[in-house]
Amino acid sequence: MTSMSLMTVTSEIGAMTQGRAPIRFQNVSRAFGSVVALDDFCLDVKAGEFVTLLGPSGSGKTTALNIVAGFDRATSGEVFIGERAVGALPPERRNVGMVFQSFALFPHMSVFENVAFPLRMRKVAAYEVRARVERTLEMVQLGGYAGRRPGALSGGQRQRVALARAVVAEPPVLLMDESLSALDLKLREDLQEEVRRLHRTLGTTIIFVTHDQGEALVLSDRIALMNHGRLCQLDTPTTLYDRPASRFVADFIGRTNIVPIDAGDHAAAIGLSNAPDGAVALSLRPEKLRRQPPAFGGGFEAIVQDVTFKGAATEFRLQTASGLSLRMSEARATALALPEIGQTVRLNVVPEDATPLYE
Amino acid sequence: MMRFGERLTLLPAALLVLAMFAVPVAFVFAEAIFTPGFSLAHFDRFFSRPVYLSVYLNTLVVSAVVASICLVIGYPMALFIVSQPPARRPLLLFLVLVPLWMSILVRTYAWMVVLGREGIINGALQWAGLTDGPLTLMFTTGAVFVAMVQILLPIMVITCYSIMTEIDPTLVRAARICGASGLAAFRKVFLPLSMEGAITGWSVIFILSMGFFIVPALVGGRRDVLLGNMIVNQVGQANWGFAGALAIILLVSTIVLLGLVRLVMGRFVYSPREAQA
Repeated sequence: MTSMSLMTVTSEIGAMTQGRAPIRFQNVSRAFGSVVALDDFCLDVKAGEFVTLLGPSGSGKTTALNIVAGFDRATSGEVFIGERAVGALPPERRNVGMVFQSFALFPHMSVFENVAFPLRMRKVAAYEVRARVERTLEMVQLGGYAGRRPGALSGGQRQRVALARAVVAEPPVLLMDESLSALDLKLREDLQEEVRRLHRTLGTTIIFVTHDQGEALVLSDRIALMNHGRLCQLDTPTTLYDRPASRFVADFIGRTNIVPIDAGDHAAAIGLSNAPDGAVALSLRPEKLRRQPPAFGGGFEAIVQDVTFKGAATEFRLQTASGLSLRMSEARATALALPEIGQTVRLNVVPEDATPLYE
Repeated sequence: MMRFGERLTLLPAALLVLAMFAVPVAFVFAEAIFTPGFSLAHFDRFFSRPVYLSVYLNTLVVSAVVASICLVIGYPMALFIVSQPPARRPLLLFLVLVPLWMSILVRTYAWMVVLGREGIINGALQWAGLTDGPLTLMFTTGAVFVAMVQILLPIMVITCYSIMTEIDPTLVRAARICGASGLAAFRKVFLPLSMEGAITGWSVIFILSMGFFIVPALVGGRRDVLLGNMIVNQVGQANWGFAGALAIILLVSTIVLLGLVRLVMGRFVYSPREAQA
């Protein structure tokens, strides 16, 4: 019932939205003394696209975001929002919305005043401020909370207010800095849905920064995986998961087994001798390994070292005869009986399921 | 409800307040209304003579002006220190605090050396040929203000600084990205959030100024008399009853004024404590 009224409200706002701007990082570097936080970073975000900057801490993702927001300056290179180089513009003149990890709501203002703030700064007429704030609060399901102080809200509600404040002025670009990381798991999943819906209805270009690869996979049109201030791989979530270009990517996105090619004959021992030239390892996702009934021939044997119940799936830790340690994830629908720890099982793998890694 | 053990920890402080403050105040109060016999004559004398009222008003005005000057100088100082990298702040705070380690008496005598007829300022002015003879700097109302502000300023800086460090810098960034210029972000976000510190600092300095007597006695002129000086005079003449009445008036006016400040603060000024409400 609420979702119906919500749809009408959000589509109304969607209709009002005109702006959505592409963002371009052109050879952007940022050094703090001798520490290089961002190293010749290039990235093109299309208008209306949801791109996540993903990486471990210290990878430069927050620095990149701060440079777009205007809180930090590039040592060299330039950032474009739309057609405009923004390097010399202060944050308030970039027409960008931003959601912070710490919510950053103004504690001395009511929810209404917080959301009205960007409109007041843009000198929007009072009657229009009221209408737009109320509509935006409806959109984030906080219709009845306008008079409260942020201190009287739960974490999830505060983040909804922060979202409302970031989009109320309909900026063509929305930046989100670890915006959901402070929330607990269930709330985070609810808000992920909310953010996706907001993106669908507003059509704003979004740059989302997170260290949580699961969150990146759920939200993004494309993910820019970063490490040491550089862009490692820029791809859709499925491509990034299925075709990681390097060990780092394969390891950072989801869980995987890295099967080395040069050291010993690990790959050959599990039936993967088809690796192309130049590949240094293979990435084999745990769910691509399959157990087969002992009566069948082929495949390879491994000893069960650990079995973990994970709800929808069961996870195994296995060791092959050549000493390779493997992780396997198996849907619980399988007809095969669970093996004991120490028992030998027979496995097989389709060679096409292993992704060659070149670095 | 506090447990007994927790309450016990307050015992030393409670005894101290009782012995050193509550009992003496009671004595002073008794002195004021029972000397020589029971009457309100001492209070009547105070309120019926314009001399006393003008000293009283002067004390209020001087305290308010000193507290306000400290605010105008101290708030920006604190702002500057907070804007510095955290590694540099302790040194700056240290420099602010150094004067507090010297007694008020020493610092006041220092001002006499600076402001006197043969003092540093007059010496420098005449050496530079800017003035022919010595200017009268000592024993003026100006000297009283300068010395009191110098003595009390560190308190303002510390009070403002401590509340400013509580303000999440992300809030100012959030204001900027919402479209506020640096000045607007300061006015709409930083200033209201630091206002409690400014008002607390103002109140503390006001209270301390109300009780000042060494500074006006040493560097002020004949007309720079504060309530504190009058109390000292009356005690010197063994006029215990009237001195007591003056002390009571000082105490009550300070309490009333602080009550007013709190009332205003509760209505208009944001306090971090209400965030939890």
